[in-house]
Amino acid sequence: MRSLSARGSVPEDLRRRRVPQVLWGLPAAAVLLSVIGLATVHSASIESGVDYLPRQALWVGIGFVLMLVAFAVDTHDLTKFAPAIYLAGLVSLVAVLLVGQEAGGARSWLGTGSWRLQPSEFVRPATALLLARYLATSDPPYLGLGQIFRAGALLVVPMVLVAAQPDLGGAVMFFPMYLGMIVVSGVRLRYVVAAGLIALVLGGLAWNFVLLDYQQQRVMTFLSPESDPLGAGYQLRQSKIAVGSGELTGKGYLQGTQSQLRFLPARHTDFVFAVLAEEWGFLGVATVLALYALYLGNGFRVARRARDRVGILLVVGLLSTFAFYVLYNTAMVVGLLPITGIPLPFLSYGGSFTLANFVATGLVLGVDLRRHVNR
Amino acid sequence: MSARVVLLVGALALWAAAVAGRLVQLQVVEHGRFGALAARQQQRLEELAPPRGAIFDAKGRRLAASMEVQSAFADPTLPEFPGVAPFVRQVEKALPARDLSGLRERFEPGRRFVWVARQLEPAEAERLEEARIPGLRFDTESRRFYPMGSLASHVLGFVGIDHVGLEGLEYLYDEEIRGTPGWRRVVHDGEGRPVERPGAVAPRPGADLHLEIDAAIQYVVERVLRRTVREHRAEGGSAVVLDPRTGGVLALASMPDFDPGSFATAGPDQRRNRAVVDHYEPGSTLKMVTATAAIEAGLVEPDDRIDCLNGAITLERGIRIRDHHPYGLLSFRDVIAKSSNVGTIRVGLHVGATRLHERLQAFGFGRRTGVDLPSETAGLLPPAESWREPWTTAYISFGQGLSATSLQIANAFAAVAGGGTLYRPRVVSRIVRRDGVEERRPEVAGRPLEPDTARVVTSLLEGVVEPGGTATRAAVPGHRVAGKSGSGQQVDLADVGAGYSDRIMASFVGWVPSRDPRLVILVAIDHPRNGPDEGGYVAAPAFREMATEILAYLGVPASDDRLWDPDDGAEPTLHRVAAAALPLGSEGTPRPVEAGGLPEFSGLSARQAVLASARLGLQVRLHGRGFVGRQSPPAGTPFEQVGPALDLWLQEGVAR
Repeated sequence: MRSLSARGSVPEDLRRRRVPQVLWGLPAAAVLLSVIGLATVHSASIESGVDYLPRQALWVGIGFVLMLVAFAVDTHDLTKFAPAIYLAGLVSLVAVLLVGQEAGGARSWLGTGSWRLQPSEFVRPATALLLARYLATSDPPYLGLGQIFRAGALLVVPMVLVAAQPDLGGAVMFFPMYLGMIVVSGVRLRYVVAAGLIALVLGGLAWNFVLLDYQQQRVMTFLSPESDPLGAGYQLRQSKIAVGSGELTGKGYLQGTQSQLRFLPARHTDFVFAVLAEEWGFLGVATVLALYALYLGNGFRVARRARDRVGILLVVGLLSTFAFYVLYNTAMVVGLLPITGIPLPFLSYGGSFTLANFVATGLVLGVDLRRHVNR
Repeated sequence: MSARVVLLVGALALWAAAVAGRLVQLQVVEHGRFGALAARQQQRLEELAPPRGAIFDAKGRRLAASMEVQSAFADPTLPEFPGVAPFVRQVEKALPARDLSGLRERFEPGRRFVWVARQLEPAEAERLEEARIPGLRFDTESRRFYPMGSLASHVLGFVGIDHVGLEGLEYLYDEEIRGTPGWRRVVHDGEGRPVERPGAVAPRPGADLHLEIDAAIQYVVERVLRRTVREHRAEGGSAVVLDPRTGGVLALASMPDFDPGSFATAGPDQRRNRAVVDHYEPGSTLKMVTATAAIEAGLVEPDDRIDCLNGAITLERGIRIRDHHPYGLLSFRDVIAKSSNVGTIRVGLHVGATRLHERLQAFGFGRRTGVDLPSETAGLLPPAESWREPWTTAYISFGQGLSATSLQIANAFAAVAGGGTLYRPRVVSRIVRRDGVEERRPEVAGRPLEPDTARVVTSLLEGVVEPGGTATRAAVPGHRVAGKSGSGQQVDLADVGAGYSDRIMASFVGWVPSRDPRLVILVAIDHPRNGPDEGGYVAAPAFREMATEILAYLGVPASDDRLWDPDDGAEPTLHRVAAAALPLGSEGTPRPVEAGGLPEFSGLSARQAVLASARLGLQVRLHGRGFVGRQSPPAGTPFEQVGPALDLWLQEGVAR
């Protein structure tokens, strides 16, 4: 009896230390979204003659393994190598510019034939790692302006290299993690508000008084390379028709006329969400959005309960990027934001992007696993 | 830091709420609009043209038929469309023989559908398809063919490019033979390519028409009429052949004619169906009505003597009407046979305006016959009240002062021939629809005279064709003919005030055999300008030629042994007449085969073969000399599949 009661009296917080509680929602959402993604990519591409399902399934499989690898790696050990990893990333971006493969007008890939990787997708988490390491050294509560700008400098180098491919959308995607990380690491909010207002006013003035009509058109075209040459707004119109005609319950799997009849361009990549909305309706879309909410909710829980600043900042950086991808892509599909080449994590077809998202998921889970480890 | 994370999550949640709200707006609130937009850009209902029904003659020969042909169109909005100028150049290269002027102008900005060339010949369609011109598409259309060319063109009419009947039977029966269009849901993909999707209703083919008209009879009539019009340098002419026992129209022809397959090149003069559209003052043919009225009223007997006043009668106010030849006392039989105006007027004045008017009405004058052809005119029969005695009655009693169509006159004579029954003339005998067959039965339109009167009038009209009559040239070997010639004076419609012009409608109308009538034939020649212009001289020979050939074709045995030929004066040999009347299978005629259709010609002499094929309404091409060995098409071929000509290969010395 005694021994039993002694074992039962182990303090609650001590037991939690020994058996870390894994946030299963995170990997579960990743896997479920990937499966939905595979089905939707299949539906979106089967009419085109090339079924992207097998290849994407391979990427998902590799991604799952990489997630476990990233989970196993101690973030703190990784942090020590952050500058080296960052530099390697920059080298890969320079290599892309020199010997990369070109597709759709941008030189973005390394590799041969259809087996190729997009280094920018991996440079992004590498930059997040270095930023986390740098910002973690700051003194709370508030970041100094010098730190903000130095962190910005770390960001700008890969951004410029990616923009030079040219991949403006890919370059812009470096920014959300920076914003998320400096907000969480203690920037004065008035700086953020001020910067936002200045950007808005300058942008507005430039747009209205400096840029001529055709320049505006060029900017729009540059921002939305997917827009169809047949007419401005074709892509957006087709996307809205697909989403709207999906109604509440959808037209049924493989029955979406907008996608099966090839009205919707980029349907297996950036506009896979429109295919989903057309075939599964609002209910299907709500389910997918709930899975993203589950993923992000669990992820930010990691950020909130982690004890070390590096871990918190890394998680915030990775999740900010992820959230921005999800929200920008869905907002663009429903016509709330201008169209640019931003895919939807786990759903859109794309090797490097899928791998990077699984790696990020593994890193977030790793931070959570080791949150109590004493340093 | 935790608070900052919450702040970040909160900002993201607001953004997510905006996306979710937009999804609700698009998918739940406004879904109807987007659903309609999707359907509009993806689907189009395309009409499927129904096959137009065919038109057959009385023997099942095809007079009009539809075939599916390809038409080419362009969609300039297709991405692969090379631009108007290069496109037109490529089309012109592929279709060098086709007139493509105006094609360039049809490409108006914004149009998605431009006809390039419609109803292509099969070879043209093949060349165009092989040229693989970007932006060019094909559609199947139905095209109307008239296998017999211009035969019966006025009866058949024609069909416009948009498959609507514009004239003749094609117009009148358009609803029947057009059929019901079907439709097909055409789904287009984002690149404009059509995708097959279920959802179609097949078109219902139109009904087939079977006519009373016999192409062989029609052919004979047109051939003789065409030649007669030409020989007399006439402006035109019309001919009608009726079956007096049923009212069936066996042939109906007008000259000049046209080819309904290329009607667009024909002028209105060629397209006018004179036999039912033109009305004219008939002249002496209508003395038949005066005679009928007088005999039925008991006013006169055939042998009563009438003083023809030496060729001129003076009506009140000094109006004088003359005969061509002055006659003294004539029997009424001779008044009709010699067509004395004076004699007829004297009888007509006895009949009186009321009775004459009634009789004309009873014969169908002044109203349409009701034939199933469009644009029929009623002619003018002045109402009895407006007749001014005695002139109007006098004029009308010999067929002037009123007007009628050729079909009206022929139909009135058919009533006498048929023993007193007036039929409504009928072109279509049978309508074969998907769901059944409608037989058109003979329709009685009145009984203008008693059978006894008909017999008397017949004997009077026989006299017209016999020696001493005005139309001896209408006599038919082997048969007695009853009929009446007419030389109606016409008022120049451009100058009515000038009174009668020198324009004559020379006609003959009669029936044969007179006592057992099979055919009523009317021939009217408009304004003959070559030599004499009397009906007995111009139209009667045409009647005789038509009647002789048609009777032979129908296999009507000789009904009269008084063989007399007015032209050569010599009696034809019995042998020749009998041969013309011999039925198939007799000595020297082709042998019928069990399956029916085309008989076996082998063993016939060239002369026999030519005669026999003429009787069958076929032209013949002879190869070699001697006796028939081989024929094409072979014996037993149904008549409707036999083309206009028969090929016969002759061999020396192989008699049957």
